[in-house]
Amino acid sequence: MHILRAENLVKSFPLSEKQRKALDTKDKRKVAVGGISFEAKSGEVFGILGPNGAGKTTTMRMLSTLIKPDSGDVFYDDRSIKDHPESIRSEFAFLTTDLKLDEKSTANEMFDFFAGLYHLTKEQAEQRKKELFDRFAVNSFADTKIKKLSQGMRQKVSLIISVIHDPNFIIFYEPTNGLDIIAAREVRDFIINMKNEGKCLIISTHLFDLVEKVCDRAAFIMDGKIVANDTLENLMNGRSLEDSFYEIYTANMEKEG
Amino acid sequence: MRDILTICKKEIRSAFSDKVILAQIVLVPFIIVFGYAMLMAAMTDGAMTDEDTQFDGYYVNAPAEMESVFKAMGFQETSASEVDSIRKDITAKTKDILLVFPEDFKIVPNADEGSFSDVEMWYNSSSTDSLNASSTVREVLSGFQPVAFTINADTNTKYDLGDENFMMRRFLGTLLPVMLMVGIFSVMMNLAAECIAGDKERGFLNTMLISPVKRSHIAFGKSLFLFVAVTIGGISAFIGLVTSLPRMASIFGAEGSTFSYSAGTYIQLFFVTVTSVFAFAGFLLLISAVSKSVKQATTLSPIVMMVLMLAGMLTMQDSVNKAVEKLGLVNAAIPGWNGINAMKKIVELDCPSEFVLVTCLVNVAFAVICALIIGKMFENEKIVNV
Repeated sequence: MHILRAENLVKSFPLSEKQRKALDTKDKRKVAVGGISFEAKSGEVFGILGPNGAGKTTTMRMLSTLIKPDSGDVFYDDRSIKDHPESIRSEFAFLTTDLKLDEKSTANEMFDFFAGLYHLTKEQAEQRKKELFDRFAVNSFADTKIKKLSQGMRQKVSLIISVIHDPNFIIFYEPTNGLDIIAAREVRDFIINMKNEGKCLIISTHLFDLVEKVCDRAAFIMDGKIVANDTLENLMNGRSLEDSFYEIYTANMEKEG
Repeated sequence: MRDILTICKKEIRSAFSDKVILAQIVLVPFIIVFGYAMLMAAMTDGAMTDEDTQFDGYYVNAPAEMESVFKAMGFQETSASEVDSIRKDITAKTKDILLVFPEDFKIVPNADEGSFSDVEMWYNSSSTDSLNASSTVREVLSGFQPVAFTINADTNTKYDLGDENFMMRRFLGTLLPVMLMVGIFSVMMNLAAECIAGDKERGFLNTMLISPVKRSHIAFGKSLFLFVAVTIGGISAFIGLVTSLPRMASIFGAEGSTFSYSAGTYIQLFFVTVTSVFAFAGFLLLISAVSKSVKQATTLSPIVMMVLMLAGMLTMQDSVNKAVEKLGLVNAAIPGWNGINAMKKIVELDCPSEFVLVTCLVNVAFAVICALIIGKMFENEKIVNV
């Protein structure tokens, strides 16, 4: 059983003079995430939802060790990201729009490069490449420079590279971004497959439909805090997820005045 | 080490599969150094050819012993009636010079004041050719003037006790270091900017940062790639230098038999060149690491170029040279300054081995320190493009 546990994550960023004026504040820092805690475990997909600027991206970046929390911690099977960042990175897949591939390389070259960084043997790399390239139908453009690929093709290659090492934890931010209906369906099936294989998945997306189809539990984030965290069934309570989210959103907005 | 090499190899493959970048690394430094040297040689050669001693000149009443000299310079004899017309042409810059000798011109060694024959020399100082013609004529005429005594009259004795090629070496010493550095810098600036700031700007650095590789190793891999690339660029520029030296030497009158550098001198020059570019590459990588985009990095990088040019210009000043000479080996301990200084000394055949050694060691140490600092910077989340 693999468990990812985020404990009271806090992250703030310095505000420039211009930003302070725009936000009409005297505060020198803006709190992007103000104490978020949640847990996700093997065999389930945990969704993170929230409006723009709620703190989803910052949370995802902390989970991926891309940035460090000001306080709080993230544990992958009880190992802290503060103490074991490198070894933890070899156990998760992270896919966001922040991450791009080298445009001068081909999908094949990118795969070989990252297989090297993840210390895969030549045999392991070849086997994994065949498996993933076949699954996402990448073979036809595997030797084309990334810069010549469409956004959807790039997203497929990025997804493949992110899971090159068959990780136990998978963190996806808008995984179907830029994909056509067929490719989006393939990704959705892939997510469900990985869940069935006992992987621990965390997904952040604006697509309620995707969340409803793949997630077991979800958390709503607003202003850097979790305002709801439950099973999808309980969150929806007979309504659509979108309605439920909107209701929670407006209730919180009213509470804050 | 394996991860460092993996990243370095990827960068090399990426750079070398791009024909433009490949040409930039391998050919551009050679072309800049060789081309610039050939241009300098051609310009100097042109300035020294006989063509420049051919003027559109005229003379009236020249004595027979001088006539042959003027004819050799391309001057034409004319009559006194043409004087006014030629003077107008000189004013209009269509003719260069007119010499009018008095009819009773004579060379008198010890005449009393006021009894010298006066030669009228009409020229136009606002015309370069006319001005040059006047200086040449003055020089020629002074040869006919009586002398009170001679200096170094024995032409078989070598009175100048110095190295006859010193001036040549000195000239090359002031020119070549800057030329070499400019040639290599042209490669380094773009490569260094693309290497870190480029990947940061395009989001690829973030992708590498979430791999299990130590972040400092990513920095070292990238630094190693740049050091490899600038070494190739350095070799290319060095070949340009070595192939252009004989032509430069011949232009300045140094004969191949007397003007030559030993293999040891070339080896010293090579090591100083390569280690100096390491130091500059390290500094440019630092700039690339703090920059958020290629544009920002390439805007900041010319600061290094300015430092190079300034150091090069300073070594051209005798007063500066004398002042810094007193600092001895301290000059070899300042990255940037030490390379330019050592190259100049090597070309002038006036560089002690310990100066070369300290320069090389300091530059390598500086490059390593820069790489370590970049490694530290990669540990900081500011390196992440958010």
